[in-house]
Amino acid sequence: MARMRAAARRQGAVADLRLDDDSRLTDRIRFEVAARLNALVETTAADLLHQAERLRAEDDGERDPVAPPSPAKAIARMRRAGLLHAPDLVAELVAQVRQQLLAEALPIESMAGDAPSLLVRLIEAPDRIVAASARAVLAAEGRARMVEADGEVIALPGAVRRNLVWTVAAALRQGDDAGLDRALAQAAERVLAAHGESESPGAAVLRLAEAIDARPAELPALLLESLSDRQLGLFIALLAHATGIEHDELRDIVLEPEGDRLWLVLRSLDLGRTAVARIGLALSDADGRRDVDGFADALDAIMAIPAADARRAIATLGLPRAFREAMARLDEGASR
Amino acid sequence: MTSIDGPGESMVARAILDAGDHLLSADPPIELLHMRAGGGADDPIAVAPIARIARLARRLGISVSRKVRVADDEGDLDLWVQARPETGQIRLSVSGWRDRPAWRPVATPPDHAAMGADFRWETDAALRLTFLSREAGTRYGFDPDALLGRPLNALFAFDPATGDANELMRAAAPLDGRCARLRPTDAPVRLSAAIRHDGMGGIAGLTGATFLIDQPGEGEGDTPSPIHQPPLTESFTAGLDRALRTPLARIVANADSIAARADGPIAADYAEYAGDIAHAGRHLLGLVDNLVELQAIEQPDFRLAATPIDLADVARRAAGLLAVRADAAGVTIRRPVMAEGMSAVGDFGRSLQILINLIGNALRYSPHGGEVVVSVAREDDWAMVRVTDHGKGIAPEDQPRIFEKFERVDPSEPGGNGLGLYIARRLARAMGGDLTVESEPGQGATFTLGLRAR
Repeated sequence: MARMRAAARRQGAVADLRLDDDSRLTDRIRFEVAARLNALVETTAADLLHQAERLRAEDDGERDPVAPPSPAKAIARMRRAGLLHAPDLVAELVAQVRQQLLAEALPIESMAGDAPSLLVRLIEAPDRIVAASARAVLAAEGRARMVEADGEVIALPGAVRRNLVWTVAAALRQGDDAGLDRALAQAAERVLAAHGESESPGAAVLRLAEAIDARPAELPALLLESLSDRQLGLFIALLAHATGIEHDELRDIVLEPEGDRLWLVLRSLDLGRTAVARIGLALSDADGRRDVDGFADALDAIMAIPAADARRAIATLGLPRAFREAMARLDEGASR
Repeated sequence: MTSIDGPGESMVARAILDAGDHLLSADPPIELLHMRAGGGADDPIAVAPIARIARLARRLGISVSRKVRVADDEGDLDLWVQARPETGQIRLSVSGWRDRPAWRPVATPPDHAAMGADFRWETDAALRLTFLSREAGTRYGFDPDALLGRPLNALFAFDPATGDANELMRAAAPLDGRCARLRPTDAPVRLSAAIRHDGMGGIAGLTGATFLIDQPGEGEGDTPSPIHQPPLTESFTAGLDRALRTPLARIVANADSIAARADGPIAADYAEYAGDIAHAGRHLLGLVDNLVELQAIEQPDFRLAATPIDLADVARRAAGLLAVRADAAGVTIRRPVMAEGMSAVGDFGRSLQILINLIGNALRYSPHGGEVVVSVAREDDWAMVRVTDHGKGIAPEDQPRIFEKFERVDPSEPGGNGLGLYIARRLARAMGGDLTVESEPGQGATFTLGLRAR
C-alpha cells in the first residue's frame, strides 16, 4: 500500500514537472475547478438520491431496501475509477473559471461617465426583448455568484450534463440491488428532464446578443463597452452572434492567450485599428500570460489582413463542432 | 530630503514626449522623477515603467492607462499613468502622488466583511443595482430580478436628513453602518458598502451588505445602546496574551524574512503578500497589547502614580521617538524648545504613552509636507500639552465617539484599532487629568492632555 502511494506520488511529480508553464493550471484555477466539480457531483448525487428515495417509497413492494452510498462515497468511487475528471466536464469547468477570472481582471473603465452601466441601460431599452434578455443576463450572473454553495446553478452543455448524471447514478449503485438501479435510472431521467437544454453556458448572453442583433457599425462600440464593463460573457456572445461561430468555440478563442485566432475573428468583422488595439490591450491587462508587446508588434500585420481573407481563414470555425471534430479525427487518422 | 513638497493626491502632473521619448515639457513632479531615475535634460524619459507605457501607447495608437509603482526618495509611489498618442507626440498625465497605502485592517468587504449580512447587493457608478443576493427577495418580500437595473433608492429609503444615495458616493466611507428602510416592507436595515474602483482610480460602483435590524426603533439611534458588559477578565486577557503573542511574533518574523527574500529569490507578488502578512501581524500584536492593557485600566480601582514630571520633556521625548516615522510621512514635528519646562503631577511612562499615541495619530492624518505642532502651556492649575495637526479634522458629532472603545471615525483608514484614544483618555483620567479634542472638519484637530500642574 505504502509502496503504491509512493509510486503514485513519484508519477505525479514527474507528470507535474513535465507540464510546460502554458498548460499548467494556476492554483486559483485548480481550486475553483475542484470546488465546482465537487459541488456539481454532490448536488447531482443529492438530487438523484432524493428522487430515487421518493420512487422507492412509491414502489413499496420492496422490503428493507439497502441504503445507497452517501454523495461523499460516490465522489470517492468516481475518483478511484478515474471518472471524476471526465475530460469534457473538466474542459468546460476550466473554461468557465478562466472566463470568470479574466472578466474579474478586466480593467473597468466607466466610458459613459456617471451614466448607468451597459447592461442597466439595455434593461431600459425600448425594445422589450432586449430589455428582458438584459435583465435575464444580470439575474443569471447573480445566480452564478452562488456556485460555491450550490452546484445546481452551474450551467453545463447537455451532453456533458447527461454524462455526469449517468456517471453519478452509476457511482450510487449498491451491489446488484435491482430495485435501487431501477429507481436511480428513473431519477436520472427526471433530473435530466429538469435541466433541459435551455441552460447551457452562455444561453442568457446569447439570447441578449440575438435580441440586440448589432449592426456592423454598432458592433465595435458594443464590444468595447462590454469589455470595459467586465461583461466578458456578452463580449463572447456578441462575437459569436456576429460571426456565426458556436459559443463554446468562440469562448476558447477569446480565452487563449496567443490571441491570433481572435485577431482573425475581429478582422473578419472588419474592425478598425483602434478597436482591435483596445480589445488587445484590455485582454493583455487582464491576463498576465498575454504578451502585450508582441501584440503591439503584430498590430500592423493584423490590420493588413483584408476582412475577406480573415473570413476565409476562419470559415471552418463556423461549422458545427461535431463536424470539425470529425474532420480533425479523420486528418489525424490519415497522417498516422 | 522632505523639503520638496509632494504634490497632493488629487493632483495631475502632465508632460509631453516627442517621438524619441524625450521630455518636451514636463510638470515638476514628472521632471523630478525623471532626474531621480538618472535622466538628464536631453535623455529619453528615464522612468522605466512610464517609458514602457508611452511606447505601448505609441505603437498601439490608443490611450494606455496603467497603475505603476516607482521608487521615490521617500519610498514607493503608486501612480496612475495615462499616455495618449497625439500627432507623433505622447501626452502623459500622471496622478496619485502619494506613498503606498499602508495595510488596511478593513479591506474592501465584498464577501468576507459582509459576514452575517442578511443579503448583499452591488451597484454600478450610477447607483443602479446590478446584483442582489438571490435568496434575498423571497425572504424579505421583493422580486430581486425586477429590481436589477433600478436605482439603489428603489430598494432602500434613506432618511432625507442624511442625504440621498448620490451624496453617499462622495463620502469617504459611504453607507458605513447607515440606517435605512427596506422599501417593500419598510423594515429598518443597516447598510454597509465599499466603493469599487475602476482602472484609473475612479468610482465604478458600490459593493454592499444589508443587515436587518430586529427591533423597530433600534435603527433610530446611532449605535445600539451600550449594554453594561463585565470588564475583560484577567484570566481571559492573560490567555489571549499567551495564545496569540508567540504565534503572531513568529508569523511576523517569518513573513518579514519572506518579504525580504532572505532565503532566495521569489516572485514579487509573493514577496508583497508576505509584506502584507507581516503588516497585518504587527497590527494584531498591537491589538493584543492594547487588550491586555484594557483589562488593567478597566478595573474600577485603577490609579496611576502621581510623581513630579516635566511635561515638556515628555513631549520632546515622544516627538523624538516618532521622528523617523514623521520623516517617512514627509511631515515635520515642531516640539517644545529645550529650555521650556512644564511641571506637572503624573506617571512619566503613561504620559509618554499618551503623547506617542497622540503624535502618532497626528502623523497619520497629516498631509504630506504638513506639520504637527506639539506645544505646552499652563492654564490655572493645569499643565497642558497640545498636539495639533492639519489633517482632515473630526466632525463635531464624531468627537465624543473617538474616545469610545473600538470606535474610529473612518474605519477604512489604515492603521489603528480603535483602542488607542480610549486607553489614552482612561490613562489621563487615572492620573487625575483629562484628554480632550477640538476640531473643525477640514481644519485639522488639536488634542489636549491636561494634568495637574505643580
